[in-house]
Amino acid sequence: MIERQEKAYKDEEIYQILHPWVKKWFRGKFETFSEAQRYAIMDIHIGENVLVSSPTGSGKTLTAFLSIISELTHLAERDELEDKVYCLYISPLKALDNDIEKNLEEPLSEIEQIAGKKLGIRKSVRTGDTSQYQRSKMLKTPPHILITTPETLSILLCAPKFRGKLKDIKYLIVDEIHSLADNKRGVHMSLTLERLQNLTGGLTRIGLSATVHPLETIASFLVGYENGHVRNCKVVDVNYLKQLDMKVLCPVEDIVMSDPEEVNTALYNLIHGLVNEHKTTLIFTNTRSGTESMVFNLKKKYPDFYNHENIMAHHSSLSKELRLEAENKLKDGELKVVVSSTSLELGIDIGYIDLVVLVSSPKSVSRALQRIGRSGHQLHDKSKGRIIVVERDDLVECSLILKNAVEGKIDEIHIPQNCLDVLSQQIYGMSIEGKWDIENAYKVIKGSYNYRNLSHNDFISVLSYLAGDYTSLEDRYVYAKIWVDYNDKMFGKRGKLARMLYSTNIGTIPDRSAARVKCNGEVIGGIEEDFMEKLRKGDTFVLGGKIYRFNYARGMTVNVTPSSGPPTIPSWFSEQLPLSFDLAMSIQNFRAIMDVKFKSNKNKEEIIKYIHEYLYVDYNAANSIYSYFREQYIYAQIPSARNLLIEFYKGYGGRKFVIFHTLFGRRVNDALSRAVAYLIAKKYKRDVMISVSDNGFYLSSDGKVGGLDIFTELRPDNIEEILIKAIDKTETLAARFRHCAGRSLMILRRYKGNEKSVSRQQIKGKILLKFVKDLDNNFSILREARREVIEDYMDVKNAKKVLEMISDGRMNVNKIDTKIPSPFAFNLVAQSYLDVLKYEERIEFIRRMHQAIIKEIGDEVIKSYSSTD
Amino acid sequence: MAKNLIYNAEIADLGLLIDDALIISDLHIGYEQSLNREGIMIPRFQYKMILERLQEIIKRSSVGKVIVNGDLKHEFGSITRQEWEEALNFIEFLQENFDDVILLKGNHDNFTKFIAGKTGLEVYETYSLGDFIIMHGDKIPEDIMVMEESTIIIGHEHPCIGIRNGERLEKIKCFIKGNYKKKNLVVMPSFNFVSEGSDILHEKPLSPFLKNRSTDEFGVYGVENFEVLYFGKIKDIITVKDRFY
Repeated sequence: MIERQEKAYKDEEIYQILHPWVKKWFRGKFETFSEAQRYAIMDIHIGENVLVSSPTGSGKTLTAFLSIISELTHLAERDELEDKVYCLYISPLKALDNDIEKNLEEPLSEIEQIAGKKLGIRKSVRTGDTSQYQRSKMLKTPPHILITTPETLSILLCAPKFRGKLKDIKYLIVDEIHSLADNKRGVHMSLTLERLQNLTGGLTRIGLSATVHPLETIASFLVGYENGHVRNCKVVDVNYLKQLDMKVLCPVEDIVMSDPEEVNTALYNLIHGLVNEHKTTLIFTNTRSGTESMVFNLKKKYPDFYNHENIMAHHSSLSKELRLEAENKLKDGELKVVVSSTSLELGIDIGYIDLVVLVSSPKSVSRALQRIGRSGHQLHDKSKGRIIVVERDDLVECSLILKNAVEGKIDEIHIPQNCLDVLSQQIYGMSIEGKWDIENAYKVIKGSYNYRNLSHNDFISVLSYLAGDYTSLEDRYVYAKIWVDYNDKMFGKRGKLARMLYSTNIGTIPDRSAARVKCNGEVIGGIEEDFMEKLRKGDTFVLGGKIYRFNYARGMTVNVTPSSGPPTIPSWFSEQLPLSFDLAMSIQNFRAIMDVKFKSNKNKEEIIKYIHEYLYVDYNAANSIYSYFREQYIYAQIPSARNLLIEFYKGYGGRKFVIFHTLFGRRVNDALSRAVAYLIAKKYKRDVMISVSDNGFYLSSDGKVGGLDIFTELRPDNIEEILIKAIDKTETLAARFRHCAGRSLMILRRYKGNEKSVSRQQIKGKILLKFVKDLDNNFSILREARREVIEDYMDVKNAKKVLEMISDGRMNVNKIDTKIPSPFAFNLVAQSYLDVLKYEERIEFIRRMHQAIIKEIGDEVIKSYSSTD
Repeated sequence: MAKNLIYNAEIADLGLLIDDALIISDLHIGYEQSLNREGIMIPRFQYKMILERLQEIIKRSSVGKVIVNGDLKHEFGSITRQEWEEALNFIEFLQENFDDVILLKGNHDNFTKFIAGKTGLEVYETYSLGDFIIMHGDKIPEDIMVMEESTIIIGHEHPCIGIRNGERLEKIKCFIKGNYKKKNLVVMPSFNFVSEGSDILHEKPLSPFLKNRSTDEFGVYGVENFEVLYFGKIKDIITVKDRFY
């Protein structure tokens, strides 16, 4: 059972359970226990599973470790410490592992001083970076506290000798668990933990999390299931102790009336002003390209103030060296500003930051809180965050983020379920541990929160894939990773290289085959293969805050030279974060309230006052929101949680546009729009252009589009099936399939010394996908790729919810004709990324493009062609 | 039909027909096994597809002779017995279905002795057919300009063009029609189904016949399942294709 821990223990009560030396040490260091410590330490002491959610700087490390250190001290005093691991600490980042080891140094050595003798409590970090020498040392004298990453743990479970050192682990700490829960890394970890559970026969699990919702789900994810029931866990929630100083700022007085140029200039003025008022500012921009242009523009606009010594970019495409340099300079307090896309959201120690600026919406409340939580270091410091909005939809969105954050309403986390690719990898790992009884393995797997509902059929289909059943008998020895004996109900590994293959190919982060960017012979960073493929000679793009000209690509290396002038980053290159569904719904509810206000003829002052109070925004912002909504109300209707508005308008040349005001976030809209477009394309045999954003989507065509009628054909019970058909020929599915093939070890990243080869690049997702479809349209990895696209990349679950709201009448569908797009539609039409979705066969695509190209080239071609022979 | 002719050689899907001789190039049999050796665990699937496609060509045209213009096998070296057998089976298939089988050497082929021993076939560097001289194209023979034939046919390059529209990118295999010095030049696409090839609009060429020179004026004939689509000259496609992004 998952329960909230409501009881806070008193100092004396906690001191009572601590070893006297530990107690003395703590007293000398701290006046009293932190709130999190009062709630959690006693439970950890008695071996209960605990999830602690608290902000950074609230003594989280000690909350988890204090009673464990105390117990180890007891053992050490009695000279009963054995050569085995007692406590395992896992974090998602190697850097965080190293931080934690340093943080443990102080208490352990100071307690030894108090004891007046050597206690010999050992701790070590073990990651992919650990040298062979250190590893063998660790085997001889294992650390009592082992600090590692989820991936390294699953490798250790396969290590024949070291495995023995893990079998008596009593405590497991998972740090930053929220950052693992919503992705496949976490899915992978949950199975690793079940493997560990199976080895140890049971252990105390302690999770440390930032503010996420619902904590009960994170707790289930942490502790897993046994015989169909969730294991016990206490949830400690001590958020909002650290006060939040959070504001939404408009760079200009009236964001509705200002033109973008004006807003842009004002934006940099505002940011520059904020930077000047603070010691160190961390700016988040959502995208890597946004990060690049922020650094670039600040340097350009204030050349006397910013230089490469005091401002740096930090994002995942930069080289490891550059990122480390930025982190170290931050820790040493040398930077005035650091600009990040999302990479600095996680909890590594980044030194003193007194202001976090978010440029435009962070798209979810939890993300906003987490980013802002990076500022203010000490327990009682306020976290200070400023969200700067750049246009009117942004203003509404950020205002609701502010409201929800202040009121503690946080978006629900999405946790992937039944991922068959990760399952393949883990079953392979299990088989390396030793022979398994099939049903026993199934039971262990179902212990994971993510696989608690795994069907027996799906489980068997993965075993069958691993056993190479998809290949001919004579070839099977090449492809089979395990043997399965269906009669004796047993399976086990195949091949002598199994352990080596497993440990070098483990993990869930797709091999995106980033191309190295070289300038004057030096590697300056990486860009993704897709991006490289689209670059043309002479294109300029920004990397690490500097501009480079693309010269040529050879293999996976891109050659560039430094350049100047405005970058020509292709505009279609989109990596926007999607708006969370819960935040979207709260915006929809706000829209509904506004609709009522206008309909009941409230006067302007009243409404503005209401907005000011409801959203906690200043009067300028309230005024802008008022005029934006009023325009929409007068010109058309206000779409809202009660009113799904479909707007029809005719564009240039009579082209018909159907705008769906579905403010549900891009993941839901992706699902809805593709399903609708698929139905339209099928019904009218027409190409449909589709464009999706967080606030809605539109379809356009030069012929009949329909819209309302088609939309009503979509039902909660058929959307999934339609969507699977709709994504069948997309690049998204092909790319995701390739990732899934990697995770399920159909494509090995590292194999007998081959890492990056030319043929590897030539094997595109599409060819693989075609081959697998021909082989078996229900192949487990193919099904997983489809699931990942519709459930993780898109959000079919919430799309179904929307359709339910429509079918049970909570949401009405209304239709309106407009001559020009309504104010709410305007941004939607202007800003969303365009996707020409055509459900045509490859040959139809080729014929159409051939016609189009020939038409563009013109008549000369036809002439020259008829005169060629 | 005129659009299927390049210098009087007729495009027959991924092959080229000159009278009753069919030229195919770059089959790369055993590609999957070599992928396996690099850790890409794709089972064999293209061998069957190659046979089916060849049978389809035979059905549609009257062909007496087949010329394999290099790289029949993807890789030779430490390969398994089973892979050798696949190459031999393929040659056997050719011998059963054509009156005459001509093998040309490619850069992947070091099998001269082996094949000669097993099948009685010789492996040639070049092959002359009327006014055409056929060679793999990985190197230029020294005496190329004194050869009598007016048209050179090469493979090796695996040409294709990448056409993008919105999020969709499709690569289409193609023949290229151009020249080498005073001679006509035809570059054939690869007769395999594992990869589409290299995008001639974007990537640097491999063959010395194409390297370090302008190919702007070369014509592009896309081929997709027997359908031939003339795309115009390389320079024209490059000029217009960005309009579709």
